[in-house]
Amino acid sequence: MPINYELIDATSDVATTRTLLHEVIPLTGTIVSGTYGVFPNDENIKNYSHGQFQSVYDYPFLSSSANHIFDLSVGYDETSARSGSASVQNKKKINMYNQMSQVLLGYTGSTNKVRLFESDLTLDESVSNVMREVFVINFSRLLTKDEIKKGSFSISVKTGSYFGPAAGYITGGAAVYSDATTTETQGTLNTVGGDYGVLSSSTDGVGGVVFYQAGIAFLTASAFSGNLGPTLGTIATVKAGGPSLQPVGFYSDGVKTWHTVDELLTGSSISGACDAVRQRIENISFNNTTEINSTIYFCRMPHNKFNYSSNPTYLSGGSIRVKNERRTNPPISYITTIGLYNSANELLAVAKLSEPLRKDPTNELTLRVRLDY
Amino acid sequence: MSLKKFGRSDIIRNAMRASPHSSFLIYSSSVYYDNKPIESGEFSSDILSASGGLSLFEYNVDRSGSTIFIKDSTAEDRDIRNLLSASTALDPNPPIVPYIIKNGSMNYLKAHRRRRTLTEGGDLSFKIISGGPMQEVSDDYLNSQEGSFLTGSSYVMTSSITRELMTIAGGTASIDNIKPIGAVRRPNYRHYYGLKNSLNFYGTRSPHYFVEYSASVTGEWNKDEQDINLISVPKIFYGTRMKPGSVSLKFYITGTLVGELQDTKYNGELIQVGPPGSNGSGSVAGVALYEEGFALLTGSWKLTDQAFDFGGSGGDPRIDFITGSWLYFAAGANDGISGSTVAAATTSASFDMSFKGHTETQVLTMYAHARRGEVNYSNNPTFLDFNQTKVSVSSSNLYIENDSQTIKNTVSSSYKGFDAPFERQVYVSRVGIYDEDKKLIGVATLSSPVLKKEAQDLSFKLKLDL
Repeated sequence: MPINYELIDATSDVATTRTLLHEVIPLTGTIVSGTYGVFPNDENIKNYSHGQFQSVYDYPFLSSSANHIFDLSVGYDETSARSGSASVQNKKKINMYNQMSQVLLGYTGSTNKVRLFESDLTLDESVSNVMREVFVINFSRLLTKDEIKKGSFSISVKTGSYFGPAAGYITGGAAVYSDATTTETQGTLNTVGGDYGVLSSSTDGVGGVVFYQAGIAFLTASAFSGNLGPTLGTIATVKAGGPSLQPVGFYSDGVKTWHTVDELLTGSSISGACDAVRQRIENISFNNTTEINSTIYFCRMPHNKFNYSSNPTYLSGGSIRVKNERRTNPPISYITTIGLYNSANELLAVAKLSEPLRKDPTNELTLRVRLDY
Repeated sequence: MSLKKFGRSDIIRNAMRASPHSSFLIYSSSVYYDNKPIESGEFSSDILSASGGLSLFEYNVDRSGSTIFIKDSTAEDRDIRNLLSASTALDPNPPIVPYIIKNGSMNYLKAHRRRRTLTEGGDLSFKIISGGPMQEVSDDYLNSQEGSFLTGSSYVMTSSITRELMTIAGGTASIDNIKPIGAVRRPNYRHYYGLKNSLNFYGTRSPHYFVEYSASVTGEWNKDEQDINLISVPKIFYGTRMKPGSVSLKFYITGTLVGELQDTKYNGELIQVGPPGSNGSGSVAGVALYEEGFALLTGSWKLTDQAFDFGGSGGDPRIDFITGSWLYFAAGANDGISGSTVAAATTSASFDMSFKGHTETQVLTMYAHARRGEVNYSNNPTFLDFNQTKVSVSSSNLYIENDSQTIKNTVSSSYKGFDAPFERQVYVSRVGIYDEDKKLIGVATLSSPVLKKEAQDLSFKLKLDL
């Protein structure tokens, strides 16, 4: 029970602030493939009967401790050369592309056509920039929180040729695509799905785009071209110097030891394509952002107030204990708690100090109470 | 879209009381919470790093190593980045680390424990140098430049029970710079000193709480001079308070129960109730502080005939090798006794502590009614037939929508090639809640859309736990 109250002036004693809390999120290729179980049957990878995407967890998903970290999928536009009735899960791949582009880019033109993803910041559908075949990495809200911090996203993918497990998996180089040129105020385009930036590499060109608020990254199929791998639409060639002069390839399905990206897009199911991409992810790293809104109450303690305590131990035999039985000594109190009351003097909130604070008639204090929402 | 106002009886406020049960098993210096095993992963022997307790966010699962912070000094925006390069070598599975950028808001992340000096006492007569659990308050913040990043230590925030054996609980030690020697001495066990007021306060429940007591019936004691085994239970496990009558402490040797304490009188006295005929049966071995979450055990009678090592070191005969008593209950529960330093005999002992908590959750229940003749239209574009003219007249002065657009007939037909007669019907997929300014403040989504025909009354029950 307080012995007196100090009124808070709504104009001068109350302020609101906004704080941005960030987290560094490293996602290594180690947990994306090969650690929990034997690839491609990793125990932290969940495939669904609908076959539209694959979920990646940070631990075997049968454990209650596992967290969902992202979903992987693949899609292409119906105007892509990969689209055709002979392609495996053709409609699902088209639907996946359309759903993503509808939600993130919206429609255009008099016929309300769904937009296409592009590798630049102008949605003009220029032939050289459209990304008709994309790999989708949809990050969990648990990781992206309010949004991915602009300028912090990077993904490293292996671009070398796949030689099969016996020959040592994927050899060759890696491409690192990042949005390093993007800042909080520049280098993004605002669309119906929020802001997006371009993922590029100084050596390998543009590899895709990342939507910051939605937390979704898109890698174009040609992002894996690199120095050794097959470029999209080309026929795989023989890699000189490789084991037994094997042809370069993007992945193996266990029967044929090499396939091109083309064959992956047309001949593999979505989950199979996700497996192939998964083993090529070397590292993903980004920072997230959480917006914290706060109200700050400045609680002022004048020199002539709050120098007394209603704590039973404050008195000893009827006299104030801290005066050492000398009436002329000033009273001293130690502030441990601040209570915030409403206009009806009902206690609404309590703020505790990390350590008691000495208060006597010779000093004035202002304590800053922050309430986060 | 029309809005409906909640009626007088449509909003109900309740408090839901629950008594969550918690149990801790302590064996070989490991704590097991609610009989869950400590899960081992590929990178960590305890994937949650919770040591038999709760991991607050369960965020960094099976992660270890250090996270690389790279600041791009060449970028226009020089905030912290962790952009990878081809040569970036990450640990196999490094943890997620929080950080904040310093600005004028005076916000920081508590990261480090600090060593600080308090000047206290009458006439500021002595100093206390404390390396205790006080956290960094402002040192990092003050010493860093504007725009620099202040990192947090780790996301593995865990909580578990702690045991503290206090030999001669009220003992004091000398302190630095003390002027009147012997006037005020620093307590050896501050946790006990902090609880003394509460113990005397609860003396009205049972005299066994009193620090100092003397009576012909119950005996006499001074807790200051006794050895006390303090078991601390964090609030996250019990909520408002531990439920009286639910506390149970069991002491096992090689799997055989040698002693059990229960608060059978609901007054906080921890009475030995078993096994039948055991030494000390019926005696009060300590008290439970329900609201504060502590059990103070003082019962020093023999529970075992055989001597065991309860994790002592330094040749202290009282804890090195001794017959079991309640003073050694929960030995190894985050008390600094590690399994590797304990003699094999201790692995014979195991301990179980269980109790119920008390939580009150405020529940707001709202009934949203969709009466007959209401809620029969949808703003979804697919509600109308496809390919209709939406605007009949549009000019620089006039804009008239087509008022004769037809609604798509969604009534299911039982026959192929035959459309069922048209009925006005909608599928309700969500309920929005608006404030008095007509701002959307909440959305309740149904697990599957509910069909509402024009002549039907529907009520949706919305519950919100606050």
